[in-house]
Parts: sequence; C-alpha cells; structure tokens
Amino acid sequence: MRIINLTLKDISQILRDKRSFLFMLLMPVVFTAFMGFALGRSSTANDQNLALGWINQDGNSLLSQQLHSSLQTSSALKLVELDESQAEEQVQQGKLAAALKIPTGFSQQTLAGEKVQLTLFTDDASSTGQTIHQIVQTVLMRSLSTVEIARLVEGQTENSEPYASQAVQQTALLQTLEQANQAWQKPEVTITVVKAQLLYDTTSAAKANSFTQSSPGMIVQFAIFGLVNTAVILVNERKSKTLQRLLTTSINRAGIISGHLVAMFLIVLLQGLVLVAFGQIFLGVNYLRQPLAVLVMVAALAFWIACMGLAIGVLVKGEEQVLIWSMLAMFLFSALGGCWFPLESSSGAFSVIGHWMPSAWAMNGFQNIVVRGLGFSSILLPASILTGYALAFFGLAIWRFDQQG
Amino acid sequence: MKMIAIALKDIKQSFRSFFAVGMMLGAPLLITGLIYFAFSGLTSGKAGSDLPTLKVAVVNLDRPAANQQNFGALLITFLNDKRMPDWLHTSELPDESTTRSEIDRQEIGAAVIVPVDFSSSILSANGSTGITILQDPTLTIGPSVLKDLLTQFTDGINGGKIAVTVASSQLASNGVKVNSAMQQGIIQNYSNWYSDLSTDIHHGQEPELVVQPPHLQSSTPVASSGTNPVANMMAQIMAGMLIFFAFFTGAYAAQSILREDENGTLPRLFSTPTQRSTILAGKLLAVFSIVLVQSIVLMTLASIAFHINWGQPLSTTLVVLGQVVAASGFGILLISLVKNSRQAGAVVGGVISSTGLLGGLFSASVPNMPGFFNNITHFTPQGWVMDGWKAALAGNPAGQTIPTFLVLLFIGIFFFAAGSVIFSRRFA
Repeated sequence: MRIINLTLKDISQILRDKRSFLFMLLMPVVFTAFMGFALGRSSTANDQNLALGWINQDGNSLLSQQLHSSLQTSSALKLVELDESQAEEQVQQGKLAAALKIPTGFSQQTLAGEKVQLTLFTDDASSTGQTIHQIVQTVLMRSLSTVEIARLVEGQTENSEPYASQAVQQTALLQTLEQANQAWQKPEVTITVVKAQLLYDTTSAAKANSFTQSSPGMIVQFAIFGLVNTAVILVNERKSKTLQRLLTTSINRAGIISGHLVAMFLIVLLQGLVLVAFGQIFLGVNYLRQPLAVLVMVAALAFWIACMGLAIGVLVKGEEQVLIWSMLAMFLFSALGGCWFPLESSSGAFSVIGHWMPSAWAMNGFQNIVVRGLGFSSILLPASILTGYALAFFGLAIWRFDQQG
Repeated sequence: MKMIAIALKDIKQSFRSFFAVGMMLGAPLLITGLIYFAFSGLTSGKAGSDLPTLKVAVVNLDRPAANQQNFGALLITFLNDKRMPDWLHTSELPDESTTRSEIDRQEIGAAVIVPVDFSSSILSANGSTGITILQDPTLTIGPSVLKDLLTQFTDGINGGKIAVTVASSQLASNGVKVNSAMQQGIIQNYSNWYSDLSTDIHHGQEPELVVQPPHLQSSTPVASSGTNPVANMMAQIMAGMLIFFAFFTGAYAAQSILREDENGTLPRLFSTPTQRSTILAGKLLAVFSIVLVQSIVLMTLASIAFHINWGQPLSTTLVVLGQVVAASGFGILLISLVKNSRQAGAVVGGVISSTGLLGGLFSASVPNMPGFFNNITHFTPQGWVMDGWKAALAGNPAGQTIPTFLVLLFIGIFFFAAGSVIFSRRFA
C-alpha cells in the first residue's frame, strides 16, 4: 500500500507540472511530424527527377543522339541542355544533380574503334551523385555495346561477303545500331526487387514511409528525455531531505525504490502509448496490426527508461546535473541507436556501435512490426535485450543507493 | 565601470556552471560530432567505401542441362570476385523459404534468387528470365548497390544475346549464312570486349566515363567547405546548432536577472547608489558577451574538429554579430515575459525549440523544402540568422551579408528595447 502511495505521489507530481505536457507529448508530436516530413522530402529528392545537365559538344552526331534518347527514357532523370560554364556552376549550387559532357568527335571516334572519355560533373560521395553515376554508366555501356555489335557484324560480313559499296556499308551500320539499340530497350534477362514484408502482409499493410522511421524514433528519443522528469523527483527528495525522512518510516529501501520505479515506468508507458496512438491515427504507422507486440515493446522501453532514470536520480547531485545527463543520454542513445536516421545510411563503425545500443533494439522491435510486417515472436529478442539493459541499470542504482547509506 | 563589474560577475557565474557550459558548448559539438561520425565515410569522399556490412545469400536454383553453360554458378563467382566492395558478404542458401526466415531474423539483408530455368532461358532464342532480389524492407542503400552490381552481370548476358540476335539478322540480310560456329565466335568476341570494358570503366586509369566534382571559375564564389556537398551539409548542420544554442544561451544568460530577483540580490543591488539602468545595462552586456564568446569558441572548435570553413572573414564577422545581437535581444525579451526561473525552464525550452524548428535550423541540409516553409523561416529571428550563414558559407562577400546583418541588428535592438522596458516597469 505504501509503495502504491509513493507511486501515486510521484505520478501526480509529474502530471501536475505543465512542463511534463510540453516535453512528454507536445514536443515529440511536433518533432515526429517534422522529421517524417523532412525524411520524406530527402528520399523523394534522391529518387525522382534527378536533373542532369546535358553538355553536348558533338552536335547532332549519331551516338550523342542515341545516348540522349536513352537517357531521356529513364524515369529517374530529367535532361537539361546547357553549356559547360553554366553546368558546373549549377551542379555546384545544387540546381542540377550532375552534368554530362559529350566531347567533340565522340560519335566519329567511337565508331572508328577509338576510346573517348565522357565527363560526369557530380559529387560521387553523395547518394544522388552515386545514383546518377550508375544510371549514366549503364546507359553508356549499353550504347557502346551497340557499336561493338555493329563492329562484329561488319567484321563477319567483310570476311564472308564484302559490302558492295561504302554507302551499303553505312546503311548496314545504321541498321545494326538501330536494331541493337531497340533490343536494349527490352532486355531479356531482368532483375526484380521484392521487399520481404510484401510476401506476408499484402492487406493489413506494414508499409514503410518516412513516419515509420520518425514515429518510433521520436517515441524512443522523448522517452529518454522523460528521464528529466523522473530523475529530478529523486534528486529533489534527497536535497529536501524527504528521502531521509522516508527512510525513518516503516517503509524499507526496497519499497522506496519500487515506488519510484513503478511511477517512472507508468509515466513512460503512458507517454509511449499516447505517441503510438498519434502515429497510428494521424501518420498511418500501422502499430495496431500487432497490438500486443507493440504493448510489450512500449513496456520494455518504459522499464529500461525507468531503471536508467532511477540510476541517474541516484548517481547525480543536483537538478542541473539531471538535465545534462538526461540530454547526454538522449543525444547518444537516439543518434547511435538510429532514432534520427536509419543506421544503414551511416558509416560502418557507427552502425556497428549503434546496433549494441538499447535504443537500436527498441527501434528494431517497433520496425519488425510496422515495416517488416512480422508477428509477435519477432519482438521477443529486442524486448528481452531491453529488459537486460534495464536490469543492469537497476543493479547500478541499487548498488549506489546502498552505498549512500 | 559598475556596469562592467556586473557583467563580469554574470559571465564568470555562467562559465563556472557545468550545466551552462554543457549546453553552450558540449551539446552542439556532441550533436554535430555524432552526425559527423555517422557520415564520416561520406565526408572522406570515398563513395560507398564505408557502408555497413550487407550479408547477401544467393539461392541458386538454376539447373542447366548437361554440357550447358551454368549461368547461376557464374553469378556466384561474379559476386565473390575480389573486386566486389568489402562490405558485401556473399553466402549460399539452399532454398527460398530458408532465405525468407533468414531475412526475418535479420541474419541476412538481402537474397538473390536465381530461377530453375535461368541458364536454359538465356541459351534459348527469345527466352526471358529474371533474377529476384529479396530484401529486408528497412534497408535501401545496400540492396540498391547490389542491384547495380547485378545489372552489370545481366547486361553482360543481355549484350551477348543481343549481339547474336542482331548479328544473325543483319548477316542474313547481307546474304551471309550464319552457323553455330559463327555465333559462338560472336559471343566469345562480345564477352571479351564486355569484360575489358567493365574492367576499364570500373578500374581503368582512363575510363570511358570519368566523374569529376564541379570546379568553379575564380570569379564565382567558392563554397567555403569545398566542393563536397557532404562537407557543405556538415557546415549547415553546425551552423544550425550554432544558432539554436546561441539563442538558448541568450535566454539562459538572461535568466540571471530572475535568479537574482528570487535570491534577493537584485533588490539589494537596487538599494545601492548604482542606477537601475546601469544594473540592467550590465546584465545586457553580460548576455551579449556570453553569446559572443560561445559563438567564437564553437566556430573555432568546429573548424578544428569538422574542418568547417565559415567563409570570408568580414562576412562571417557580420553574421556572428547579427546572431549575437538577435539572440541576446530575443533572450532578454523572452525572460522579461516569464514570472520566475521555474517557469523560464519550460518557456525557454519550448519557445527556442519551436522557433528553431520554424526557422529551419534542423532542416538546413534537407533538399527541396517547400516554398511555404522557406517563407515561414523569415518570421523567426533564427531564420534570418540561418540566411546569413548560408550566404557566408557559400563564400559570398560581405556586401551580400549586409542586408541580413541590418535586419538582425534591427530585430535584436527592438527585442532589447522591448525587454528592457518590461523589466524597468517590473522593477520600478
């Protein structure tokens, strides 16, 4: 009963504070919407209508026209014709994703079997630059392939039945190039990409969108920030000597710890469930396709946060230190755990470290449901690991609490 | 003199506070540092060289007839080639269902499924076939690069098929009889050519397609962090953090007025012969100085740690001064509107975060933000400062940052004046 009273006291103390509403609900809602929107814009920019500057110094030559028409058929590209000086500036300013320079004599020299170098002005370190490089390279290789096929045909013809005249040879060359180019428009060996979740869940829709990253990401981030509210209570109790007074009553140490822990757990659980509902109703993140699994994940997250809050509350001295440690925990766990951006897009070392973070396991559990379209069993491992982290922080808090006497 | 003494006392107090220093310097450097670390592979300029490991399983169901070329086996050899990226780890699995469960358990990130009739379809005239990439839906970059690599492989096969079909048709129309030995010769010659082209275009000294970062002529402003867009992105993220925490510091430093009032030291100060205007001016000077020191220290550390070049000295100076005036004025006005230091914590957190968000501080590196969002940014002082930094970071001369500086000066002075009037009335 005393434990429940202590829990209720903590909960009412947190909920009466207007700041709680701001930091626990309003800010995560605003940040979820904003980051989802920003991630959506970013991926759209990478995937569609990449503007490619076309610097053609080879006039209306056969191969430059063929290359132009092949690039134009790519749904990912939008060709913009301009001269070299404008192109470099526009790539620099981000108005163009890249610019391709076709040098003088490209067609003539290539048909004569000479090597000609084309230049692609772009930043190959950016994902946009890499995408456009890949598209242009594939198209160029296919174009050069038509020339090679024409050369092979010409060679075989010359060996067996030489052309009657140069005009006939020229016509045959054009026909071969045209036929090969047509064949490249519909290659016989294709590649199909299938996302694994579509194999299981075609109706109830576990669909990836920018909010399936930002919604669980901000649930985890602001759950961690909730440490500020919870740990501050413990610090203030110690500073105001309420804790010492409590210890003189019949409630034992375990009871005090349990009371605070349950309060912290319930507050984070409530916050998580409200944010899950927001994601489900307003952002189209389908948490409810596995409600029990989501509940277990939010509970495991709340347990880890509560134990970490307890540890911070016991370890630090003042309210300001609580703020610093909570923010440090929030930034480190959120960034390293992939709450801001998918770990896949980070560098190798960052990703390896990140996967060990409890926040990464929390993200993994949520995304197993809302993106991968998996069932309840898929969250057992992430939830267990979060519980393991929670117990480690709990042990630390108990040890320090006992040391403080 | 008294004004300076009051300011120095506040400055000393702020820089002694663990919390204040953490928020002023630690937090912005930590956030930018984490992002820098996350994308360090890209900032180094080695494209795709430092991606996280992608485990790929090949399910080779291909069953070629006896004496037929085994294209499924060729694909496995291709993916295991030593020239493949280091982060691509290929293994084999026996069937599709095992592969799916491996993807579910995240043991592998993608699978390449080669169909039973792969080789026979390739070798038959007009036979269509396809490879399927089954991928973890949370991944995008790794599977996309895998698809590009497989396109090289399938294009080699497609090219060979096209060569035989087109050559047969063209030679026949030229009156040449095509036999199987001739077809084999064409395929062999084409394969050799394609192999040479692939090696040359990917690894050659003078490839057919060379990628070059854009170089500008000397008359054009040069982006301050070089031509690498990722480095420019880091500069903009750091500028966003610099502005966000400068405004936070402006408000935090201004809270000393409230704290002194609550502790009773401010009324005691007012009872001395020192004029109230001098005391308030000292407080304002302290806020201004703290934000200025913070900005200079952060910029210096960011230059060293993240190699950020902030632009031409005069442009940078104007933007820093505009930022300091606007952040200090904003802080004074904000704190003049709250009742006590307890309320200030929530108000500062909420208002600075919201105006920072609307001011575009967290989306500076996001491409193609819609027009309405870019317009909203100008309703916040942070949005104007961000404009100034964008101009400075692009290497623009001072002339182009003067209008922004004047706007920030006006905003700062207006906020300063409004905050001072409210404080004067409050302590009258």
